[in-house]
Amino acid sequence: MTFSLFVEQVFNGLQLGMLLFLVAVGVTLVFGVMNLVNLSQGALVMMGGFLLATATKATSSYWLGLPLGIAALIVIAMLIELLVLRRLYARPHIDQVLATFGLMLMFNEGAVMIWGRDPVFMAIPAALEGSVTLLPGVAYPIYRLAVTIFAGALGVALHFLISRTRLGMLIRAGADKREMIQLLGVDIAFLYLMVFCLGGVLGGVAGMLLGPISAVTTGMGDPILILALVCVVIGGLGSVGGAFVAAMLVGMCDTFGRVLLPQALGAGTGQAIANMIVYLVMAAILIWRPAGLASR
Amino acid sequence: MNPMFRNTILVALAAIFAAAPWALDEFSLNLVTRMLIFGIAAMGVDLLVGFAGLVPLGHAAFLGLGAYAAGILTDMGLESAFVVWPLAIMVGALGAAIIGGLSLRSSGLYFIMITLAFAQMIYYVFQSLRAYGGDDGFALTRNTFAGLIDPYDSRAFYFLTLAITLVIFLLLLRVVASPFGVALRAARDNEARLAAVGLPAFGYRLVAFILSGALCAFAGVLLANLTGYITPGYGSWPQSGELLMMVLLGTAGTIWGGLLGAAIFVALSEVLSEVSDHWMFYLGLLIVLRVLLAGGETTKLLKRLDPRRRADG
Amino acid sequence: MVEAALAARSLSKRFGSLLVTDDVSIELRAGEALGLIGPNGAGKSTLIAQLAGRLPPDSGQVLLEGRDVSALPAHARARAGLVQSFQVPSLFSSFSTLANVAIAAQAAHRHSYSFLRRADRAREYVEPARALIEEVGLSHCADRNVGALSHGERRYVELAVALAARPKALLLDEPLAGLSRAESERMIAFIGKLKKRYAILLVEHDMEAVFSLADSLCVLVQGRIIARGAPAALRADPAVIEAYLGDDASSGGAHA
Repeated sequence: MTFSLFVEQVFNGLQLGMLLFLVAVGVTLVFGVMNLVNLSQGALVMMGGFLLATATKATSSYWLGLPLGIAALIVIAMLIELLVLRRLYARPHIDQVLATFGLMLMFNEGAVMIWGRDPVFMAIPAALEGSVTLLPGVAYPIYRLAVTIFAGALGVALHFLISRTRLGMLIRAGADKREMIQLLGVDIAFLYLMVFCLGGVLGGVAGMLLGPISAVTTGMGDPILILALVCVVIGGLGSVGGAFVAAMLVGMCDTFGRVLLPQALGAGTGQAIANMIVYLVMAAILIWRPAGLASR
Repeated sequence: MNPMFRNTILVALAAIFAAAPWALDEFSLNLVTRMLIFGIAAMGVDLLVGFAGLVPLGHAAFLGLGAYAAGILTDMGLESAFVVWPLAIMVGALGAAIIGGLSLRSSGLYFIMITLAFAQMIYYVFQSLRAYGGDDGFALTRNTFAGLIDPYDSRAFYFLTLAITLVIFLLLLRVVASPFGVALRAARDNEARLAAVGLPAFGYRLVAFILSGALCAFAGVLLANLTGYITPGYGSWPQSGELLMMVLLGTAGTIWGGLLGAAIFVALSEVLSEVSDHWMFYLGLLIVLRVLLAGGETTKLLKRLDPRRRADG
Repeated sequence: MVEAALAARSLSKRFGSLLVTDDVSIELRAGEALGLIGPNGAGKSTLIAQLAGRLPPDSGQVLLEGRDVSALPAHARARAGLVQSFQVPSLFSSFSTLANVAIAAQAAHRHSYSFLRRADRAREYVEPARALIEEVGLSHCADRNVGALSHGERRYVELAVALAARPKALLLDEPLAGLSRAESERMIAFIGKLKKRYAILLVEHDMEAVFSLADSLCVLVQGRIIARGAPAALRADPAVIEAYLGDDASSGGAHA
């Protein structure tokens, strides 16, 4: 592997890791605060992609489409919480799994009904076209770099939100002390709505960022959801920091596995193991720490 | 249920199932066979959901393991079902032993996600088997029965599946009422107390996991033989979700619930896909509504409070 | 010297900076009841958890009939004969009374990897369970779901479950908690009968009960045993009165 390829792959790994983090953080927050497993997060990733594509087309501007798309995402996330999830918090896990699985089917097929089965391609916004030279001889697409930086910025903002604000304080307390929040006189229903919208929008934004990189298709969120669930499991359920570390680990393992393993082991075997590498890493970590990295 | 009433129902059911091959065309008969096959898998999943209180979201992996093992062994020149099927079921059981051993160190939501992730890993293994069609899968020559049964005769295959289903059903009824089954349910109710009287939950759960994995593998073997085709889709995670739905559509915690739920699910998918191209949407909607309206908790609560329904069938 | 049925040697346990068990050593012999008293928060339940193996001590040993069981997990200790009953009845909620006791009797056998016989027709589980249920006076609700029992009845089931596990040493964590006066008296008489069969560690708030049942007493305050001896002697000990009895008397909880 040449040095320039190595640098490029590090950036690709970072990018995948950041996007996974955005999706995983939604799952882990919803689990930590509401004790709910949400399989519909993948649907929100997909909806993010479709909504941005549609809004961009309608307004003929990516930069107008973006806020419109996010606004639509918020509405959808609120509807999901108010109509379905709200009734599931006290339910057994199997009910949560099935209802959110049902939601996922509805969204995936609903997207087919609205946008059809063909992938929708999105152009990279003009301002972000082209490449930059990271190091002499290493060119990297500006859009991909911008995605990583933007996702990273969101991550930092989230960190401050959780560590410095009242909402963040409630989120942190929520994972440990449900009763305490109620004693503080906080409207739990509203807090839950906020947390779900926050997590859902972050997942949707990940889908928006992905749109111009891979095409927008129905079911595009499903494989991302599963990788995000792996991050949540590795990181430790409910832990945002753990999810971040795990997402980076998964992003890097997946990216480098796909480049290095076919070279090392031949196309067939290498490809096969590259597909599984993330799960092998997960199994190894779980043998070492059954409750994830964040557990003591 | 009063025994008179129960016996009447049983006789009626037996008559219906016995008459089915003559009353139905081949397509419908295969549909009923499919119901039975998924019934076997759903009974296996229900052993975990209803009796061990564990929710696995990766049992399609064992369906796939059974199907692939059967397909590959057959491809290697072994034809007889008497050889291939037990081996394929053992492959499923072995996979379940490994995955169960790792997943059962956790519980609750963690268990759900870990089983999903492991199943996904197996799914990618199927996908990467280039020699067996990769993503597209491969055709299976049906296994033979030493001349006793014609594997291409739909009626014969139906009766074979019916007999297998019945035997498994009866065996499972015994198993959940056995000391093992009681320990499993006790671990579901109160793991700490079970340990405090001297029984560790882990081993019982692991055995249940292996049993349910083996049952799903058996279903995979049968399904591969029924359709004559094997794809990675057998082990996909939507398939795992569907297995859970079958358990929910029946009554979790009763063995017959698995059979009933599988029958409802297969019928429902069939009807919906006749009506609309977008049947997955309506299926999703039905599941959401079923969960929200039926209130799983109420059913469970009723069952807990009514000692007569605490029973084992 | 007769070997102690159950002994703890220098158990210590820290939660952060709080020393909840401070160098505690106890010993009880078969046929003897040791009362463990102390104010709320003294560390009685934490001590029981360490003896039963639900909580690992930071240091110290637990010996059952002279054998070091410190390294064994809870289920292995239970199987070796160190069984506890819980302060809040901890039952198998979907089971009948009989099934609750029978599963403990089943656990007392080597294992439960038996798949094809019916557990509810296994005489070696069901008969001892029925006998115990009769002994605690609950035969009339043997087939009722435990969720449908009164608190007092559940207390007796709780005890029967522990007994069905065939203990050598029995750890009773506040067996009288929440019982009415009449129920308490019956329970005290019942535990009095049990004394002959097992070595009993009795944690209890009801002073009258402890003084009448225990052969000797330990007073636990802030994780330390501050006094031990015969009940009559301790009743007069000024340190005990100040640390415990006084405290409890002022809150109106003690009958002593």
